[in-house]
Amino acid sequence: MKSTFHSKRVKVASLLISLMMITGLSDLPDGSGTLHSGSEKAGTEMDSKSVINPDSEEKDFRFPAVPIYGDWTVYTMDDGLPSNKINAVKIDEDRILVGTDQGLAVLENGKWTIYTPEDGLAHRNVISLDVNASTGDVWIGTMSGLNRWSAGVFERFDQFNSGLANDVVYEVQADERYTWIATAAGANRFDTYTNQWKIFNEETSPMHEPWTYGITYGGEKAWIAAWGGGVVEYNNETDQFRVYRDPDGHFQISLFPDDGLVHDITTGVAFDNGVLWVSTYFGLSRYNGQRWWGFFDHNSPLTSNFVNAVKAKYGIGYMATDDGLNTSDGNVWVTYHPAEGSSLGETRITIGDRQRRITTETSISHGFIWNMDIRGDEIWVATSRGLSRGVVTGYADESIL
Amino acid sequence: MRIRKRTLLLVILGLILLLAANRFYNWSLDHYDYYTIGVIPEVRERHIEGMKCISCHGYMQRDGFLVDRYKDVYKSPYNMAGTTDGEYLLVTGQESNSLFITRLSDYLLEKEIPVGKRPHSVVLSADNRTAYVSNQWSNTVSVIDMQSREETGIFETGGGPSGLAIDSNRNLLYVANTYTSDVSVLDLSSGREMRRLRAGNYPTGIGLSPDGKHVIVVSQRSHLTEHRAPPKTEVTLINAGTQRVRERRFFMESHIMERIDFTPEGDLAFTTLVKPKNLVPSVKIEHGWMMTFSLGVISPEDGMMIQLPLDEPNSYYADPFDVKVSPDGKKVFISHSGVDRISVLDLDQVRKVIADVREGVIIEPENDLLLSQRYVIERIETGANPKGLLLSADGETLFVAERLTDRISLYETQSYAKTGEIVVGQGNQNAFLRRGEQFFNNAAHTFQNQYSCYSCHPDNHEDGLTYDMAYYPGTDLSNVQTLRELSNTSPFKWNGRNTSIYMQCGMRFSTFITRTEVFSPDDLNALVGFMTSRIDHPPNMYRTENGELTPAQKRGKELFERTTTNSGKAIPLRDQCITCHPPPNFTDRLMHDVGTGTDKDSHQDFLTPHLNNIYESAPYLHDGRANTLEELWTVFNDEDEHGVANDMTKDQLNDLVEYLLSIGSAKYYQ
Amino acid sequence: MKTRYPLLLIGAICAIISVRAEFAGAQTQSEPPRHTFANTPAQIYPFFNFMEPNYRWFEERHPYLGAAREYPFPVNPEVVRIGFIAPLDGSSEYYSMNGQHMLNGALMAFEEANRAGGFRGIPFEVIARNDLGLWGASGNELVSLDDMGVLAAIGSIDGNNTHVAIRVALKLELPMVTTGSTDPTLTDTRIPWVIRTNQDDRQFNFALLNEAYNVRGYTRVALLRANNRYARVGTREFVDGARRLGTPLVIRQVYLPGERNFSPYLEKIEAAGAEAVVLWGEVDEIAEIIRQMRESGMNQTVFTSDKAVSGHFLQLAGEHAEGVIAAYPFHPESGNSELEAFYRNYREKYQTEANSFAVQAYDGARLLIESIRKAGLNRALVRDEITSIESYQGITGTIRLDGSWNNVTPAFIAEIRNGRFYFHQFEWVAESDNR
Repeated sequence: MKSTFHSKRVKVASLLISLMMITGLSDLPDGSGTLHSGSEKAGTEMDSKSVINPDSEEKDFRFPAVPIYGDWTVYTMDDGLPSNKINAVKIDEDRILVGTDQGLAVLENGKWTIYTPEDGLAHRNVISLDVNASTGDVWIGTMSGLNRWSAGVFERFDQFNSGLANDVVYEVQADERYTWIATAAGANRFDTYTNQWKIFNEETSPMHEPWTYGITYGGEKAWIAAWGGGVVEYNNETDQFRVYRDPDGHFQISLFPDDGLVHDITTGVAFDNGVLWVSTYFGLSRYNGQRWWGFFDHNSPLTSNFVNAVKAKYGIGYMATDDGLNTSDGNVWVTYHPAEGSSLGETRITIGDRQRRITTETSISHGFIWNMDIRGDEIWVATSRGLSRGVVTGYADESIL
Repeated sequence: MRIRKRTLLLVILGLILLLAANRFYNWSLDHYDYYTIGVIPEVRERHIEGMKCISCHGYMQRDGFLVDRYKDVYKSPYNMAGTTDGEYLLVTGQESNSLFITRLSDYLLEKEIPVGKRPHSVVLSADNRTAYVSNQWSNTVSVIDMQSREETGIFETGGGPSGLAIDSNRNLLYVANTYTSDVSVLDLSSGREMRRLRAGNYPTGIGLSPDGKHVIVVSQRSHLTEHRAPPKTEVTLINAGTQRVRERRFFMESHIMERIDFTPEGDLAFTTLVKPKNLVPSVKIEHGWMMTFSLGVISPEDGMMIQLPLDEPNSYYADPFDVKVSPDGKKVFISHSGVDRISVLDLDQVRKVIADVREGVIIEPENDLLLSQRYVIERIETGANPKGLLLSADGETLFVAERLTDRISLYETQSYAKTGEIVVGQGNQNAFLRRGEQFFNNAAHTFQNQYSCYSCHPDNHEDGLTYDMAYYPGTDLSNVQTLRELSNTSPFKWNGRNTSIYMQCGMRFSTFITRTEVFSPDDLNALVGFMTSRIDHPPNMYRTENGELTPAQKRGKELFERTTTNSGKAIPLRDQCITCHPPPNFTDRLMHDVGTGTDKDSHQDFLTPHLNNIYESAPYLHDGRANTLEELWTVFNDEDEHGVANDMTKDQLNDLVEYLLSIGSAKYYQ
Repeated sequence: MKTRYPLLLIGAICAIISVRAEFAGAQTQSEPPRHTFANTPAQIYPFFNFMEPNYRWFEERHPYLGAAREYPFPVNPEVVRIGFIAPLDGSSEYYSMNGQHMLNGALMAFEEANRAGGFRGIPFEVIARNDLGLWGASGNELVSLDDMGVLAAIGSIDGNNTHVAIRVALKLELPMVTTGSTDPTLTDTRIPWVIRTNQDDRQFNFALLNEAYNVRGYTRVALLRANNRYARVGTREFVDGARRLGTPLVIRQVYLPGERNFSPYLEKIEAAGAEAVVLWGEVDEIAEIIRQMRESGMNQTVFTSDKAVSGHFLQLAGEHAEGVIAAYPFHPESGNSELEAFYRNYREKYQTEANSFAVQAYDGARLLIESIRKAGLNRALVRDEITSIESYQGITGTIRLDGSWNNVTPAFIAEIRNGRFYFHQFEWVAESDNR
């Protein structure tokens, strides 16, 4: 799969980085470990006490190890979805919100309800979703405007009737007071208390290019994935910015794997437990405030460099790639993909240079992942063909190998 | 000879003076006519009589000794709360910025406690130890210790806190924030705002159901609908257990819901509302087609929403404000602040009508004014402008806050006889400007008491609707404008034809609007005096505490005052914002065609509106087409006629809007 | 602590040397890359003089792995709708004019296709949208075209707007052919739904770099460009390339759009001893700068963008246009019979001369039409066709697409002599040949 050339290059480059940064050898697995195969539900049995109570989520909760999801359930148009193209999914207490290219679908009490522009949806093509944990208001980003869906009433925001930077809303994240929005032409902070819009673009922030794809927040900070402009960090208390860019400054190369952000064309950001995850179409970055790690499909278990979105929760990064679902804590990787040519699934667990491949009886519905959401011991995955739900069946530790 | 010369000189001087005086006299008549009927008539019979020089040059001034002479200190009692033992009555003094604590045994005003600006409502904790007062113009709630009779704390809220609902079991206080259109949920232990919930448009009334399950919030204003769509005003149902909005319902074709109360069983909630007929021509005033007034019935559990008229054919009960259900669940009391009446409703009869409506026996009850005969059992006459109501714990006494007489009147709830009154203010209630305020709030001057000035200008502002009031129906639609701080903003009306408020409220007003006799000179003087000198803007929410503009507002100000486009091209003077909107009132008081006219408008030029506290005045444009400030330029300014703006980037437009939001009262302009 | 830094430096240098040695050895053993990104001459590849990067992108084309190929063809469609976005109406006459030319060129291709039976008897219908509106209008327009069920889209010209559009195309899974934007970064985004059939400013930069440094042997070149995105990204390769050739620009000056007095910049350029000046901006600005240069006695050779290759420029610059060297995507006087026919037909139909935007749109549209005819009425299958093209024979010549689906056909040099343009295709002159 990977040439010796690449492996050597990574090791030497790592040495170089290590010398320059005095941070020790990279702990990246090189992906060339032994393959194993096994049956579903291998690994450490899940301790029932470790299951998170979704009603008492703690921000600093961490999974004891990278969880292994299984028991996949798949939902498609046959089950009542308006489309099989699932762009976004959000777990909202006892219901599941699903953004498709043909409307918003809500799964509640085993029944699907579909919402379309006739109901007040800004546009049928729903591409981002979030819920304000304080008020329960749902924020819906569509291809043509933003909705606040509150107690059944759709309120529409667009670039003509509000301060929304652009109508194509790639990401929306609802903090208690502020709603953070990434659009095709600039990002916003909407103050739900005062109805004021703050805009982030190349004029109002140190954003190299105004096209934004992802946005997230944590503590007093927010991070914007600026397509072509790396990551813009905004301090909401001091009104100060900081920018993270690919140090080599070129789109056509990656000079060193761990020298900083892997690429300026960023597609998503996620923050959890003090770690920032950044997805790009050229690999994945992880930053703990002190150093960066770069992950590529040629030097890590990341299944594809084309990462559509990233989420982070309970100490784990979740990566939606065009070739499988990836999860990792930075060292251990568990990836998911439908097994080729069958209805079975394939889960790969990589710890260090050892890897085990498990064939599972159930599978995520498609390998092209648009997005996902995680809550407690369940994960919902939005794919190019259908929606999948998995639950934690174990954890990836040494015993599984 | 010398005497002759002197005589001659005096004669010449006298002639000159005579001629000058005559010319001055004629000029003064012209001047008078111009400001009363807008033109200099060929026949002097048309002019309004009774105005004096002092009318404009004294009463219409916001400051100065003449106005000061007529100003008095008023308390304006607004809303009330009572201790459960029936010993004390708490009253908010809207104009005195204070809370009154009155001992009911002897009507003694025990203490007047200073609170924030424009106190709106007061509630008591279940143990009666603490009172909470919403300060609408301070964005705070005052915490009053009932033992020490002192303000012991201040809680921060959203903008314009008004209605309050206390959930003592959960130790929570719900605050309806009128200006930010949301509800603050405050933890009473810490005063911390636990969450902020969106709630309608200008919510003011709020109540907790007796079973503690629901909090219901009612709004003054309609949601911003599509242009010329009927108003729809939100009733927000909050799950008191989760403190989240459970449901949003709408009263259609209605607005201005001020207060809410529940039946003792909690199965029904009542609010008052106004049904404006703003989509039909106002020429139908004689048919009751201007507005009617209703009781809004809300069933929290099953979704029922019914509007029951409070008016009678040919007799209207304008501006209902408060609603209270008797503890025995037999009667509903409603204050009509526009006609100085309390309506008493038989609740059993109301329930029967509701049952008929549900069974389809009665269709469209809201439009059947005869229906009120079935449940209205009494109309109690009160002093001027009855607002807040309170029933004693035993239900035997009704307290009525007569805002514009500075007193609380007590009525026996069986005989409806007045049993006493508590005077909270000593100001002269018949003083000139007070009379003007009473006149403003009273519907007795309109055809069949259909409405008062307040009806379209609640809180002396505007109701956010567009009316069809022109001579030819369907033309020259008129977006209601605020009445706050009108000094130095003449002329008036979107067509700029009314050169003064005297003219605005003069003869044509009686022909087209009130459909009654022309206001008497004394009334008109008092009304205009009140309108121009006594109505202030609330503090601007978007200004920082020290008055400094934020960086975005500063950038917006530069854009507002810019003379060149982004590409460096000079902007013609007429297309610069500041040309037509110069400070401090941000109007040049002239007519301009800025491309906003339609084929329904008889003229394409409109009077430049002032921009003070413009954020409170959505929708915008003369016919209310633009729901937001952004739409002025993104939707209705294709040709850059309403200021050159199409070259602006989105962040520039956002900055411009930020600056406009920050424009407050002219007196604060820097 | 102080003693540690020299040691670290030595360590880093050793590591760099070892890396270079490692890669040098590795490269000789590995297969040559299938695609060379942007057909970049080795001498000016990033870090060429420093080290081989950890990874080179775009040597392989990224596949589309989603499920969109499974979508059924529409049943009995009356038309095959094709979206078109370009600046058609708005504040910029230049962009609107070129947008109209682009639309005309594309329409000619689809009309010809319809005369030849459309798609299996179903006519093509082009739905054009203006993207010269406000704030990323191209994205909104593309969404509206998606709502109308277009099979693919063509567009646009402005780099900013096209960037917005291609990201929307990616999420909509809508194949898109770009025929007019010269923004080099467009195809650097790895979106497997978008190809570009015109050359970008990078190719123009290569041609001008070669002409200035390798052919003419200048060593002191200055840059004067507009302070906007077009000029910033449009000259980046020239700036970097000059540095990598060992002859960095002697001075870089940036003027504000709308400025008309360029003498402060020109004086500095003159003072820096520049032998040649690269100008990048709007055509009227370039003409004015040249006029002010010549009138102040500055006789440096001027290199500039394709915008100067127009009758409009000759008119604006007048006698001062003499000697100006510009880059251009193809040879308009190549004698290609199809190209001649296109010019003739265009003139007849639109009563005006076709410019490069019209010609390249015609080529891009024909490529798209042929792909649709092969793939059928499924966006992903159309995508598969257009992204599998290695080269396409258009009326402008051979269109070669690299690993990022970007047209990397070497650009042409257009030199103005005696009031007319003389064209020749550039060929990179290796270092040893002339330097």
